[in-house]
Amino acid sequence: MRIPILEAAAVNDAGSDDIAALARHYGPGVLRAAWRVLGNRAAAEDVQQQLFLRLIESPPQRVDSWPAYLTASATRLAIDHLRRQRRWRMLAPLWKTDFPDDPPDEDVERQQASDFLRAALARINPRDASCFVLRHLHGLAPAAIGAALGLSENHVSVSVHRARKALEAMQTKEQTR
Amino acid sequence: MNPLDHTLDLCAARVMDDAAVQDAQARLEAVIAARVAGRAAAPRRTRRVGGWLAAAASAAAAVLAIVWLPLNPTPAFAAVQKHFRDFQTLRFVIDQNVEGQPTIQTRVQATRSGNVRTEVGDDVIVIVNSAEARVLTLIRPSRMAIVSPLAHRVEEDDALKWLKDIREFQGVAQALPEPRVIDGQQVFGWQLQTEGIDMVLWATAEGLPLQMTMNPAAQLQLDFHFEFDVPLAPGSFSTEVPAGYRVGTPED
Repeated sequence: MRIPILEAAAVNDAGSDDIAALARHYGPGVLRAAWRVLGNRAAAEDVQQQLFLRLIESPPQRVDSWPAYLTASATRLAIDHLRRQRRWRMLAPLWKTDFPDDPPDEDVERQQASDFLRAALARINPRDASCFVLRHLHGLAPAAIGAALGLSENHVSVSVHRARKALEAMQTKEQTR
Repeated sequence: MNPLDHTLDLCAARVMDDAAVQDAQARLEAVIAARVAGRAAAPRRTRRVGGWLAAAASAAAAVLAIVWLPLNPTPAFAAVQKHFRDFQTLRFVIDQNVEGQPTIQTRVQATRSGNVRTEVGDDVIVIVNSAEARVLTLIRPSRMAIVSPLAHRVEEDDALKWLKDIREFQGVAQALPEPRVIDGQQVFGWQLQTEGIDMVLWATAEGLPLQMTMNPAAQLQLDFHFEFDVPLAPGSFSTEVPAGYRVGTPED
């Protein structure tokens, strides 16, 4: 059954002013979401700015939940960043990072956990990595992840499971070294 | 505990410091302002500012200017209230639970100028257009549309009374000890009571409300999920009768 008025309501027309308002409200959350993946302030800020500037250039057609959509987009961009960073490091092992390092975490175990997770996320399928981070690091429900990434809930669950298995295998391998 | 879960717990325990967040936010807003200014030649949508919400906000501000500071518990909760007073658009979903079981979901879109669109479950849509002083009610199962004049001011609507209560709340909002994560954002809880109804509001460190739980009656719980100043489609508040609907009367 088609209801024109509902179809019209589902389409968003986000202008520049709208994006500026979104940035004001949700900018800090986007930054924190990117930082949780990247562990680097400068890189997280780069993701934050990139995300909102992209929205100004090409606003999405339909968004069911802006907080979930923005968190998912920040996560995807952050994982892309990790993968790019890994490629550069493979090509030029002497280069450290393209952004200045943050001061190290005072808690060594926490710093090591964060380093491991970043390196591991850069090595697995990027969609699986996004689903895993959104589910386990950001605490989004599978339905919300699916809506934000355009996947079915079932697909999200499979991706999360696949990522978990891959990360567990990497962790076991690292611990037995 | 599974080693990977332990790793995740350690990663989740890392917190970015607020000063760094604020610095980055200031730079983000400057970058966006520059980009928007660069696009100023392009056609822009204009927004009406005014109407009942603007009037209510102004009136509240005038009253609060006198009594706010001595009564307000902490600046942080004031930031939460500010979002409810100053929004241009507000979109929220209400999940209703009776005795712990989900019953009906209501989706609401509202503008500062006083337009409100309410979708109750899958069957009923009510659109209040303040500028046209018209209300359109669509009954989907029977494909019936009822058009009626706006009988009373929107702010007198009981369904939005909680909004007025939060805006004007001057009691003690108690901060909850444990933060939680909603939609990937760390949020902090505030517990308050207005006219005997318990509410718990969850907002980000910047005071942006994301969720609220209300218990208006025994065994009844309403869970609100908020989005502030998100873009809404202009057609959302049209009171034109959609094709395929027959016009009826409330008696029908």
